[in-house]
Amino acid sequence: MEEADESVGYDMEFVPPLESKYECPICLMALREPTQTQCGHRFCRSCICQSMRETGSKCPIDNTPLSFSSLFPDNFAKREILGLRVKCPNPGCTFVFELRNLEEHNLKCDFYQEQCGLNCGLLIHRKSMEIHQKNECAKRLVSCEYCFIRIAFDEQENHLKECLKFPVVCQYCQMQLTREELAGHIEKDCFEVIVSCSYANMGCKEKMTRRDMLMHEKNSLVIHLQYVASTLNEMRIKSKRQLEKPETETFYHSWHTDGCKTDNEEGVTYSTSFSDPPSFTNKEPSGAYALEHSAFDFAIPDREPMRKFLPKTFNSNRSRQFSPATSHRSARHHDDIQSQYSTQTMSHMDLSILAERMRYQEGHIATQEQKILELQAKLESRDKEVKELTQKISRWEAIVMSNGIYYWKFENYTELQTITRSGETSVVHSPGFYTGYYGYKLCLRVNLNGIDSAHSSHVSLFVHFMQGEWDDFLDWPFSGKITLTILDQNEDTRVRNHISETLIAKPALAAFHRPKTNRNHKGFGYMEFAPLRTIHAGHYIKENCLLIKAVVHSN
Amino acid sequence: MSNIAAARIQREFKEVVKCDEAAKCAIKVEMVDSDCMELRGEIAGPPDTPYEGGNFILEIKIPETYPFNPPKVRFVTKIWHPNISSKTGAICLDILKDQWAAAMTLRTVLLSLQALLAAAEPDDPQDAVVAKQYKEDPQAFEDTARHWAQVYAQAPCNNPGCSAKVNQLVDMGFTETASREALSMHSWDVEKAVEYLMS
Repeated sequence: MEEADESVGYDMEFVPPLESKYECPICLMALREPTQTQCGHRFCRSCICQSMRETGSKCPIDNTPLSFSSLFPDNFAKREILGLRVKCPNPGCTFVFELRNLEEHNLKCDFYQEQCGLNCGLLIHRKSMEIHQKNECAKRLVSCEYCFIRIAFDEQENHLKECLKFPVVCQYCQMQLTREELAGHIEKDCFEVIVSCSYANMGCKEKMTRRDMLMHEKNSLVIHLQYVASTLNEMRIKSKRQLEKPETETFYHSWHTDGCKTDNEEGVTYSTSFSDPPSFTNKEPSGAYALEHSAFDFAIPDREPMRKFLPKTFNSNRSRQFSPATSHRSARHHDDIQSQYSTQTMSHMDLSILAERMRYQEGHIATQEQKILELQAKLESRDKEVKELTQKISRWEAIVMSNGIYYWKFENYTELQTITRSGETSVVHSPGFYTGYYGYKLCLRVNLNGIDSAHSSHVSLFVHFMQGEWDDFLDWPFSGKITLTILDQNEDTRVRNHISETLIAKPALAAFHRPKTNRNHKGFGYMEFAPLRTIHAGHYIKENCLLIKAVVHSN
Repeated sequence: MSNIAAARIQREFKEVVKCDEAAKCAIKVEMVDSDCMELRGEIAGPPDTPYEGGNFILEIKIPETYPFNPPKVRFVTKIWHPNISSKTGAICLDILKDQWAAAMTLRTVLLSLQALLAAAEPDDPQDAVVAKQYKEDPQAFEDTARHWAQVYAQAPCNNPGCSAKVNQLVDMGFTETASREALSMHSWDVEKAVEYLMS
């Protein structure tokens, strides 16, 4: 059983200066956990372990072959070094004390600096931490004064650039509104924005502010009507031209597409009144022409709308292509043309209704899109709230649900072990858990691939105390016992062979003192908890999960 | 750079600055960049050697894995020595290779290099031409090493003969460096050096 400590020597100013015999030849600092080799050289334990891992098992001083098992702790040197006097390392503090009292002094030293818990990266004197986190820290949460979302102080500036509730001024009418309202305002409401006349499609080229436009539309009723009339007339002529083409199919197609385009582009140039009869109706049709229209004639006895009979026309046109009887039908030809007019007129009216409907739909879609954007923004802020609440709940669950027994389901065992072996993270911590309602908060720490002397041979398992909600009225240091178990997940419950160890808290160890940081750096447990061979050979891993159980009894 | 490497270099740097040898101006070290990855060392030529009175500049690069791997050291000052490349300054010394041990420091490295200048190992050469000369014509080797130390390492001048020969070749139109190298390689035989330069 060993206390976990992975750091190099003590970087302290000794009074008087440190003798070189107590200096680690690797880190050149005062020996921490002095460890001696068979050849009589002393190193910090972590230094010599690292050296043997990095450069092979030989002494860094004289290259004598070494093995991990032949290293032994030099407790004599350790006692001597802990008895040496050092200056307090905290800038500003002038205290001199024995090295063994370092932790104790740090607990009460006014100049002790620790990392700000909000991850702003600053080192802050313990005394000033509360004020720092409340008033100064760049990562402290503040409310956006416009949308009331909670954000880190240093993100405020960026947030204001996109905050939907941020006040902006309409560039046209100088009205004050929120950023999310601006687009809709300019699109639909702003009186000062320059817009095209709503008869632009019919040929009105006027552009003016929306305010003047109301008056314009009122005053220009007659002109607008003329535009509409000439547009319709133009469409009629255009579709007639199409009719003259031999391929009825082409006509059918372009009547729907070109007709609409004409609305916008050429309608203005025509001033002929709608009732003007088309001039070519008076002409005597040529043979081909007659043939073409006799096809229509054949197909419109009941004056159906043109759309419906067109496909039929196409067929009949083909079938009558070779008919010799064409000229005797010319007497009825004028009537045919007339009927086509009425159908076309109907279709033009349909078209303008359709165009109107489309305009309406477009407006409708724009409104809907705006609504969707608003909903999305709302949803995002809800998501954030839900996330915060979930975190709160899980914290409370951890308090309420446990009664000193904690199961840690360690998922993705294989992947994590591979990563661990490649040296990425040597350690994984469990979520925190409480020993009971109003209990101590702890977490488990596992080095899947072992550490130091247990490296690559054992799973190392430790407990670390964490800062909990009730630390203020709990007894410190913790006393009691902790049982750590890796559960055998064999299907057959009779042959299950759990690996279990029980440890009794030693109040002298820093691991059982009240944590000064979110998680106590010092842990307590077993470097060689279970041989990796056993773990991999047995039924300890099931569905890629390792189950670790911790039972904590406090006295 | 890993924490341990940075912390070590800081301490070693102080150690060199404070040590007795530094006080005697025998070794010196300076930071080149603030993150300690690169340093500039300086050693004095040891007394009673052809390098006496010279100052030799070294380039020292610290690897991430220091001190578990040796620093990469190279002579910046040109030097005529069997275990140091006369062209690149690369050093052949066991402690900078497989015999490195984590307990060694900048100070021990600089002192080892100084010792190497005093006691060459011609049987484990870096520069074969120099090593051959060292073994076969010790007088020419000493002259050459002394001349190089004088030209490149500011050692006091006490052999004007070599400079005269270099100038002779320079007058023939060769560059000074090339002339000196050719003469050094051919134990100051002017004819052979010219032949070498012409080929």
